[in-house]
Amino acid sequence: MDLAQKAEAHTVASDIPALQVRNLRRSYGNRFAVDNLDLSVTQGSVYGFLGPNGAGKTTAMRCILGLIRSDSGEVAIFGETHPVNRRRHVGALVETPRFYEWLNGEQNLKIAAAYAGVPNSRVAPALERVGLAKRGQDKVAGYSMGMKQRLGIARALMADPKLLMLDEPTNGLDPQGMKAMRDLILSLANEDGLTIFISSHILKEVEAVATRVGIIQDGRLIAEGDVGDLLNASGGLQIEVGSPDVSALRAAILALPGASVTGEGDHGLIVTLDGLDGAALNKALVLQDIPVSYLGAGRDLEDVFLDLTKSQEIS
Amino acid sequence: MPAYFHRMVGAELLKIITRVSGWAGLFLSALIPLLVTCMLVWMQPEAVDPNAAPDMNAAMMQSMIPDQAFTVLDWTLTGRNILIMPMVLLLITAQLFAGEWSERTLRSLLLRPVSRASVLMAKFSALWIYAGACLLVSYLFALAGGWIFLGHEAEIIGVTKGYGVCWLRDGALLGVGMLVSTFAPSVAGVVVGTILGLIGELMLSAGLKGADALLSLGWPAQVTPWMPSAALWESWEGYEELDWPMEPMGALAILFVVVIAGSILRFSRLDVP
Repeated sequence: MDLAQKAEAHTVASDIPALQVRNLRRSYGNRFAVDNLDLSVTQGSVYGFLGPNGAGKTTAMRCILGLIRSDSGEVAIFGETHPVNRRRHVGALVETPRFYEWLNGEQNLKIAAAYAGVPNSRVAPALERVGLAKRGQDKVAGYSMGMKQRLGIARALMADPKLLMLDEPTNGLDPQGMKAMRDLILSLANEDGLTIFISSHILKEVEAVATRVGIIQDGRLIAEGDVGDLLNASGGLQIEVGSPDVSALRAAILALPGASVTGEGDHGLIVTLDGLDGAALNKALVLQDIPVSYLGAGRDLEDVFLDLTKSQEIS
Repeated sequence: MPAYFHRMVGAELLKIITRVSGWAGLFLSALIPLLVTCMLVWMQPEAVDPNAAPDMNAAMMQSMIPDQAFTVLDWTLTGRNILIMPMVLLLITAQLFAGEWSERTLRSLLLRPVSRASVLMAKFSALWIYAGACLLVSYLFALAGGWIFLGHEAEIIGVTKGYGVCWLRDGALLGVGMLVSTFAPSVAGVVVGTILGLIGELMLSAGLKGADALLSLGWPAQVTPWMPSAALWESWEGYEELDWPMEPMGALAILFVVVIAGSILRFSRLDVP
């Protein structure tokens, strides 16, 4: 395949979803690990695939990537449905990445390059991209968990994918490693324009990077939407407001049309707004000489997640 | 197969030759002919004690070692086939398939835009090239040792053909290991499973021959020459004949097709952890 053909093969209409899954089903015995899963990931987005442990996230990812067979359903990656062809567009990190430990990082990436059909000249930039340029000649056996995760991402990036699928990429990392991974994901999304599909049960991590999320439980997708929409769903926008004078704050909020106090958070009162936004609330409080010491989201993805998964368990 | 299949094979060869087992195989391939050469030099007629028992005299030794260079090649082939190399090749096969399965490195290869059949054939091709390299090392060392220390009166075309057939036999053995690897997801499981399977097949073949001799059934005599044991044992032993022995070579071809087709079918349907 010459460069023109490769360029043509990599050109995909922007309205085609990066990933489209329809009625995906996979069972183990009588239990459905993935049950009629539907997903759609738009190009350029960072999609958070959330679910408690055992919800079916990894099984779904393995089905999508063709590592395990699905009982039924369709998967298309940038419109490609053939199991081999659809992997042309995707780089993936499934669970903890494994390497040939007796080889060095560069040799491991050369093996990946050989199987991806890309030149070895891609190895050095990939190592550079994940900050491992100086450790490429070291044996992988001496790498830390964080370095292996980054090498795994370098391996996933070898074939210049348009979709990056990451399964629990911060698993086993220390806080510094988690931050480095989060920064890398954001940079890949914002600077390189990759579509990123990230599966995790660590909600704070996903909330920090994702623009859209899907929540899976018992193999089924129970909610999907933009992060902001999910946070604002069920009862309007919630904001946490703190003040040294809580009683004055409460009185001022109750006097405001479209605002009500619906609870208490770590930093102050949880305020539900109807027709107002955070800026308007802040302005109104300042005009009434109420000192505001804290203003933040009153409801995070974890609350949404817990509400949704709990309601599914009850029903 | 993708256009870059040769690079996939190269990647697999890199994995083989950078492991201890890979070096050990090449080292043993050189060591066996050297040991055989040393043994035959030591056994030379002039080295035999003239006061030794009559059955250990020079004439007997001369009859045992008719053509020195030929004998080094011959004994080297027998030594590597019976004692060591099948085990080494089986171990490396198990590492490349079941080992990668249990260590989960296979997953990263299967995430690439290549079919599973291509992955399997890349590994098999690399293994077979490696087996050929080991055989070539043994051949060259045996030839050099025989010629330098023992003279070169021998006709070596037949035994060279034996090395060629042995390479085909190694391929079939690697194929058997590859097929077993798709069922036994551990290195030890593959080695033990393959050995037990081959012993079982050998016993079945012997049993059929015995039953034929006792009961005059007739059909076992037609079937047993085409079974895997005939392919693995009789194909390379038939090199002294100038003609290719039809039955073991046919059995080898059948074994090749069965193990490779079986491996591809099984591997294509496996769930990868």
